[in-house]
Amino acid sequence: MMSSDDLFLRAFENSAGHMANLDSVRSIVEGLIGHGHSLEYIIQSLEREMEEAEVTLRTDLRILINEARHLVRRMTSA
Amino acid sequence: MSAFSYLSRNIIEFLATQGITSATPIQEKAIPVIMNEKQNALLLSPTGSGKTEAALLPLLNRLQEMKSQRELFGFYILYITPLRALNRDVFKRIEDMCGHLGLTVSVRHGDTTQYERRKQALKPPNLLITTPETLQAILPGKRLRYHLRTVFAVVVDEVHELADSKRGTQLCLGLERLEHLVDAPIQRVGLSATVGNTGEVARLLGGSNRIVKTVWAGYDSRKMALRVEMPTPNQHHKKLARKLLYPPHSTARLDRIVDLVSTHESTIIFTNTRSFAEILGAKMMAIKPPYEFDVHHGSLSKDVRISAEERLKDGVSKAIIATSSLELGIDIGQADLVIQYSSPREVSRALQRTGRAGHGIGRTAEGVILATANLDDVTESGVILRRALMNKVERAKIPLMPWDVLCHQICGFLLDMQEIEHSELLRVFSRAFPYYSLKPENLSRVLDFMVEKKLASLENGKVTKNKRTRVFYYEHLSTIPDVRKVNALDIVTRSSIGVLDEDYVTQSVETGSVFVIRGRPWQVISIEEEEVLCAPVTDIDTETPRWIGEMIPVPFEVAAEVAKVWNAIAERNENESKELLRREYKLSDEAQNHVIENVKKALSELGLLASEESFIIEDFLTGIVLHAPLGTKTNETLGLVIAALLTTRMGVDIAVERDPYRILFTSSVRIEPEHVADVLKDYNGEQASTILRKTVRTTQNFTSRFIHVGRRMGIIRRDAKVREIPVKRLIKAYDGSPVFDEAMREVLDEKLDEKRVIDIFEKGSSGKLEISIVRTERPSHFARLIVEEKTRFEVIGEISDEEEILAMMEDRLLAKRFRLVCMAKGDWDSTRTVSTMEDVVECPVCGSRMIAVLPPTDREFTKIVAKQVAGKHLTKSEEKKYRAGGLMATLVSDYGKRALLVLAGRGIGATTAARILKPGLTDRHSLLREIAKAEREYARTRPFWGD
Repeated sequence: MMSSDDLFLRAFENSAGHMANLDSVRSIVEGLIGHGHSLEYIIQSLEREMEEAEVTLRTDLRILINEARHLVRRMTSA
Repeated sequence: MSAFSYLSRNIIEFLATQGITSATPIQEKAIPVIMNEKQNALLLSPTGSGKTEAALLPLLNRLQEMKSQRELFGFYILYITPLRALNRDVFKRIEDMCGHLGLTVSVRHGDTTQYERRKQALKPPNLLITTPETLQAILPGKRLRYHLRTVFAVVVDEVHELADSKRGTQLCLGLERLEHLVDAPIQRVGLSATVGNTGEVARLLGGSNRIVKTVWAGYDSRKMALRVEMPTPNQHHKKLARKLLYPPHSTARLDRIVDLVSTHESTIIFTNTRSFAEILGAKMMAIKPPYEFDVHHGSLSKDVRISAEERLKDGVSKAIIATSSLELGIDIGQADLVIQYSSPREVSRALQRTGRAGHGIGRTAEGVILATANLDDVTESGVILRRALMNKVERAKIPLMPWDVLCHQICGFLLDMQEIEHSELLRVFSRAFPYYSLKPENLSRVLDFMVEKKLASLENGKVTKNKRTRVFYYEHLSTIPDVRKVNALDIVTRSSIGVLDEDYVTQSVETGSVFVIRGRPWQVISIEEEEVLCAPVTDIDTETPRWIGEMIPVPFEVAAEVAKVWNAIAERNENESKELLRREYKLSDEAQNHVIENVKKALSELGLLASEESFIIEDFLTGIVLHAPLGTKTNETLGLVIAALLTTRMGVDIAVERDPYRILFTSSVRIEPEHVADVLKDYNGEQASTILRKTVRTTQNFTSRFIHVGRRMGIIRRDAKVREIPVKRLIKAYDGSPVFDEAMREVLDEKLDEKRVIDIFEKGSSGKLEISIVRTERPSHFARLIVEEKTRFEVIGEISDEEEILAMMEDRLLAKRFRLVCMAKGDWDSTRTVSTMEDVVECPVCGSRMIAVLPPTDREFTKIVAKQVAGKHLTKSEEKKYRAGGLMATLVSDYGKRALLVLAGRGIGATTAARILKPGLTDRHSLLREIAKAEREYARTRPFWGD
């Protein structure tokens, strides 16, 4: 069973190629992993980040959230 | 159970608000099919039968369901149409429905603003309406590529349009790349109005290993009232013709058009070329009809075209004169009549065009083909009409294994994937129908080429991108022939008049050339790199404009049926023939009479008529006509091969002209008809093919194709000017490369018909082809259709009567006035009109024939002659004038009235006149033609004379 951190990192790796603000997203991701948070918590944190973010960063975060949810769906259906 | 019952209540409610409560035939059949997610479908139904909704309603239904289960983010449905204008149209219809369902829709193509594009990247619309080229552009895009991963369905509109060209091939590969990205099957739905080979088109849509269900509907309910008319001029038309400076038959047709437009609400008049759309517009303007109308074609700016479309739709204008620019389904409201000017040449074109009338379910489409008074044109129109009513449409010619598209798409895939195994590349691309037989060695050959051109790198079976890959990919997104556009500008204001194709400019336009655009004639003053500078021509009596457009090829099936009709008439009496032409081919009385009369005449001259299985070689002493009703492409190919073989056999150049029904061979020496027959019998198919390929290399067609393919494959820069490309050297250097092979394939498959010609030579060499030789004293009625075509003036787009045009010119020449001065004794000085002169021109006082010809305003010459006669000293300039007068007088002395006629030509001085008169042209026809030629030459070079 994959940990939340691993799944989240996988989501980041899958979607990194589509990011406009890769460095900013990377530092956000680095700030969220390694604390044993659940995936739901990580996603909520990202959503909070989105509120204040500039529009292109907002889309990057949305993509990341989407990818994470997509991976979860695939794992549960598998 | 109605198809609508499959849809959600939300959708049904929305449809009800639009007044739609029941499904159309195609919707009834297609909706249940498409509701099955795994089912790909090709929907075939006439224009205006609700195909768009048939495809989108079930897909939007599914999307709506998805939305109820989770948040949507990304593109889910792609709607691909070949034309930007169609994008606009579809968008308008779908926007309201999507809004009602809480779904988002947006359009993206080359004209989409940066702002809109950014918006789409940040908040992707659920449904994206786009073009094939834009799909190519966004596939490797960083952001948009992500949004494409959620696509579950693609709708491809006007599939038949795309199938016939490399755009379709490119789209195929694009869809494979998309499916590779999505990593799941994508449901594919194709919409098509008219396709002859549905099986192949379905495979093009679905790929070589996916099932596509073909759904037909609505063809029975489509009522069409079609007929062929052939207006002939009466006295009124002849009078009007002189006023308009337009041939009488053309005037009769114009008058009929005005009549038809006036008695209908909204009419579309289709022509076969842009130039003719302009000419017809100009003449219609000159006739001052009691309604507003517009001209619409691809060389006009977008604004002008949109304005014309809206004016017709809103009822401000009653008619629009258009080319194929209006063939596809742009919504211009309910036109109740379509007029096709002269034969539409192809059944699919006839259907597309007449389908623009009665654009709605249950309405009767009324269509009239106005044939010119030319036997080929009238019969062809009838045959096409009959085949259209029976829906016997031409097959879409799908380009198979085009290397340039493969090269481009490999670049695209490398941008998608960064690197890919050779075997994976082969696997993905061979799923696309045009590449189903792609072999590893073919792929390797293309890759080797790409590596050499630094478009890719190859190592240990892995293909990776290179520095040039991205730039090359984005610079070559469009497969539409990279025809550079050249602006035509008003030399005074420097404002744009219109846009010309580079090919046309280099081949046909020179300073002095006159062409018509937006209803006005313009003359080319100078040609610069990116621009052609023009000035308006105020003299309406311009020589017929030259704007050579590509004539649409007549397919083999149509030409063969035309010959069948002629043979059928040959076997019947007049009443039976009339009945046949009326009942089966919907020809008017005048048209019937014209066909019957001409066929009977030709029969009495030749003794028999040709067919696809039986050729006639007609020897009329000054040339040979091979009567072979095989269509444009086959005759083009056959003509090339026979001419090449005759040239080898006879050691002299053989000139070839062809039309869909016959081929004309001429030479400086006599061609024996037996030689032509021998050529058809002595060579088999394989030999003919070898000769063809050798000969094609030397043709302008091949050179032109090579340049286009070269541009597409990166060996010629896109911005390189045609005039500066060392084409012959490049062709030699690239012989045997994928570029050369692709150019050859394009010519052989798309411009020519190698297969059928191979078949003809096989039959000929095995004695299965009937060949008869007929000797005539002068060209038969059938032969004249090409012999006179050869010398007709360049009013391309309308097959017009050269005789009419020459007669009009002759009238002008005969009306010219000159001052005639006797140079023998200077005792006669009179201003006379050419028409009043006798054939022999002599001084009424002394009988001398040395008569100088001067402008009526020249009063000096008589004084000079008097001085000379009196033995007085002449100044240098007087001597010069005297000598010039003497030259003209010599011509008048030798040739009489003919000299006056020639000198009446614009810009024709003594030297040119001498050149024209010297060969002793006895017939009026040839003389007038030479005069016309000289006038054109003068117009071309006039700017340099500095007047």
